[in-house]
Amino acid sequence: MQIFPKSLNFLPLVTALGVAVGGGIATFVVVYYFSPRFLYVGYEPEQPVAYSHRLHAGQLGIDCRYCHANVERSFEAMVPPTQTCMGCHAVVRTDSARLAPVRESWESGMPVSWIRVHNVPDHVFFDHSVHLSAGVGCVTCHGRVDRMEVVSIAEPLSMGWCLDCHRDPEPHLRPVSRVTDMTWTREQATDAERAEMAALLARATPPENCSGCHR
Amino acid sequence: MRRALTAAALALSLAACQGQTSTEPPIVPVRQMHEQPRYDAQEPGGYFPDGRAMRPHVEHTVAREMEVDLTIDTGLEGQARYVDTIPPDVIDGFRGMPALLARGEDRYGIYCVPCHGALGDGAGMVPEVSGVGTIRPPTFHDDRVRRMPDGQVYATIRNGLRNMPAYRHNVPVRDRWAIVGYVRALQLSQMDGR
Ligand code: HEC
Ligand code: HEC
Ligand code: HEC
Ligand code: HEC
Ligand code: HEC
Repeated sequence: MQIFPKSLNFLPLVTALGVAVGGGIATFVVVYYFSPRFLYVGYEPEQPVAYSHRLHAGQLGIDCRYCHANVERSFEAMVPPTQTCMGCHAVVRTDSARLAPVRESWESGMPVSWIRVHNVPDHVFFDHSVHLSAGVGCVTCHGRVDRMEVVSIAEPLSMGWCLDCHRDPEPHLRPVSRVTDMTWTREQATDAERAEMAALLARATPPENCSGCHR
Repeated sequence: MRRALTAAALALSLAACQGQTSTEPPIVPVRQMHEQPRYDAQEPGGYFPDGRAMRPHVEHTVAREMEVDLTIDTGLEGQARYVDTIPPDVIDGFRGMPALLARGEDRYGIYCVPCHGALGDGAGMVPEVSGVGTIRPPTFHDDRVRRMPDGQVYATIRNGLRNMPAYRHNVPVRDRWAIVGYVRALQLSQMDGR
């Protein structure tokens, strides 16, 4: 007696195909969409002031450290205080509507509520000054900020990304005097700069063990 | 089957690709210990009325990293006289004049060039682009600035002058003296044999 219809003979084949295709799609979805490259990269919140790095850092050529003045001295690069903006904007574009929130903040003493873009979790210890004195440039971790109208995340900022560099920092190092230079490449290095990079590499001890970053 | 595949393909093509921009905060599936009960730098806090967790400097107090030597800090000797030269303590701190000048050149490039220009002639990008003629800074290469005591140049950086903002909040004390040294070197380089 036949209980199952003959067509069910295909069941194992269909199941196998379904698992293969479905599993493939599921793997792809997880790898592609659950990765920091998809989740973090490209985050660019709307800021309270239409401040443009392309204008200030690109066109005007202001060095990053003019505004992010603490970056070589402390863990945090810090978004500049209103005072830094008003240094120029007390005389430049004093009537611009786009600068109204900055002037308001200057008069009231309340901070401009910039929205934080790059943020590693609180269980990660990250220090800007160490990386800058080791010769890692802003552009390596933040991309071409001098071309961004609005800052957006350019690199995944994931643990794997940190470790990729820590295991082999050599191609990412540059002379310390070039850390804020957005266009510098290793091919341009002079002999003196090559020697400096070799010295930096010999000195660098980026941590690969857990307690280096999770303190 | 075909319909399911079409639907899947459509769903995938509707979902964004890697690297596309978004104004929505990143989705973080696992959030354990992401936000710990502490304030990070520049995080908003609820305790003070201005909403800052990090406190600005309170006037008439001395923070640990502040300069305590009044002459070095203000460029003034006694109450009203500018010091003529860079205090020897500062030069020693840099281990000599060459290192001070190198540091000064570097810092001048960051904080001064936008307005004063690389040569110190007042042809920086900011006065040029903004088109405001009145904010064009004076050149360093005339006798008035050449004869200024070092302390006065220092005090100008520290306190600002007319349209120039004060730089004491973003340039540390010793870097300001290094810039003074470099401005002197710039002036010498433009003296045309006098
Ligand atoms: C004129 C001042 C100014 C200069 C010069 C400047 N920045 Fe900024 N930067 C800001 C301000 C204000 C913000 C906060 C608003 C924002 O995120 O757009 C900011 C934000 C950022 C952020 C994102 C901060 C976050 O919340 O994650 C990065 C990264 C950054 N700047 C890098 C740079 C780099 C690299 C340079 C040099 C090429 C530079 N900045 C030059 C003023 C400046
Ligand atoms: C070194 C001088 C300088 C500093 C510091 C500076 N700016 Fe500017 N800013 C300029 C100049 C120059 C322009 C261009 C004006 C023009 O195009 O006429 C400008 C233009 C702008 C504009 C566009 C105004 C408009 O109406 O189009 C905004 C917004 C702005 N700045 C915001 C800021 C903020 C926020 C800060 C503080 C983080 C800041 N700026 C710091 C020099 C400066
Ligand atoms: C080794 C990679 C790396 C380099 C090099 C680097 N940054 Fe960052 N930056 C980060 C990471 C990671 C964060 C997030 C830090 C956090 O959440 O504490 C960040 C955060 C920031 C922020 C946000 C605010 C803050 O205080 O953390 C600013 C502004 C910034 N960086 C500017 C700069 C500038 C300017 C330079 C170059 C002078 C630079 N960064 C170089 C990785 C880097
Ligand atoms: C492009 C290269 C690069 C990237 C990306 C990078 N680092 Fe580093 N990091 C270095 C180098 C080089 C050093 C060695 C500095 C030294 O020994 O002077 C270092 C050192 C460190 C240290 C040791 C600091 C100390 O006090 O000794 C920590 C912690 C650290 N990195 C954390 C991170 C974290 C967290 C990330 C990711 C968000 C990251 N780094 C991404 C290059 C990198
Ligand atoms: C170079 C710095 C670095 C080192 C070394 C490092 N981590 Fe991490 N780790 C990170 C960063 C950055 C993140 C945050 C990644 C993110 O936001 O997606 C992280 C995240 C994590 C998380 C995920 C937490 C969560 O909530 O999702 C775990 C678990 C972790 N690390 C464990 C470890 C262990 C175990 C080691 C030692 C084998 C280690 N880490 C070494 C930088 C580091």
